[in-house]
Amino acid sequence: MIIQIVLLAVAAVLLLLFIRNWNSVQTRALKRLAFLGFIIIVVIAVLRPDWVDWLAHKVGVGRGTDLVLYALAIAFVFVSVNTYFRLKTQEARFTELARAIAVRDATEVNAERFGVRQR
Amino acid sequence: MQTAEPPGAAGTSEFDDVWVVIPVYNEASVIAGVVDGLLPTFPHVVCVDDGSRDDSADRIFHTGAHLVSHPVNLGQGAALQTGLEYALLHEDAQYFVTFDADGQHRVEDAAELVRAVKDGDADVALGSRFLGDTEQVPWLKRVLLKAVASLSPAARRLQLTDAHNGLRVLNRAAASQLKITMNGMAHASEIVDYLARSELEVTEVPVTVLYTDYSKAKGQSLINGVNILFDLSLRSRRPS
Repeated sequence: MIIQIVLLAVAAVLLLLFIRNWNSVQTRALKRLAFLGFIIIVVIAVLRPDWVDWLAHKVGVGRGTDLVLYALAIAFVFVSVNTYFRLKTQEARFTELARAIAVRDATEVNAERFGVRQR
Repeated sequence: MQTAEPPGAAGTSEFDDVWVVIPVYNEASVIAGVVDGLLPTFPHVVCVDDGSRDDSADRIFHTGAHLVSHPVNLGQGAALQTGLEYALLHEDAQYFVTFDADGQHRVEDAAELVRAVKDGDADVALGSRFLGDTEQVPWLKRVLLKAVASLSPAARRLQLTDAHNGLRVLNRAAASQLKITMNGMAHASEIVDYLARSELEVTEVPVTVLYTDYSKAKGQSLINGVNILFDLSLRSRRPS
């Protein structure tokens, strides 16, 4: 029971840290390491299902498949948050670009409009 | 930067140093009327067409307002920021009014807000539906807006009675520091937040909002509040 609370707390703290520094150099490195680690764990889980069961019993989450499911859920949250921030950053750059174009064109067009059609 | 004067701007008026910024998205049926209502009082109006699919841009083109066109739809917050940046390019512009395109604001209220900044100590004046007679506001909106104003820490710090009014006046210092990053509807809260963190003096001025059938139909749905809260809650942690 206690181990479950600890696991959840660790996941929450990691997520918060991630949200704060989602794109720092360290976080980017960590993301890549986590991805590698994830692949290795997947390979182990496929080859040695009983090891996953053993680990699941150790941390108190019942069956090995449950443990895998929880890990996936947490990974999914991280991926979602990462994608959200990535899109937001993209959107900010895109907005800057569109704004620059809009203002540049408008300066020209309005000068022409009010210069020529002045009453 | 020098831009030629729009028609009707000849001569000097009390509001020669004021620029009115109107974000426009699919408002073809009303926008020309709104601009024509403003121009006699405020000679400088800039409409930011936010990629409208109707002929809003064309309607604006045939008024005396400056037209800035987003090449794609970006959202009201983005349009406001674009309009402010465009207006700031004009060196004689000292006061900046944000005004809704749907005709819900009154020109005389805008003038009142400008005077509050020009003649008073305030750097920023915000319109409030709740300082004067509040009967005009539909009751559900009244309850909700009151709740937002009293729940938002920023609005509380500034002692605002209305946190989501589109009618605002900023002086040059306030306008040039403002950087709206929330492209969508969350910009209203973002602006209040920015004001609360800044050293700027903020005042509220009672205004009347004209809830016409048109502006009611165009207004924000209440469910959009969920989107706004979500965007804002993740915002402050995002590095720029």
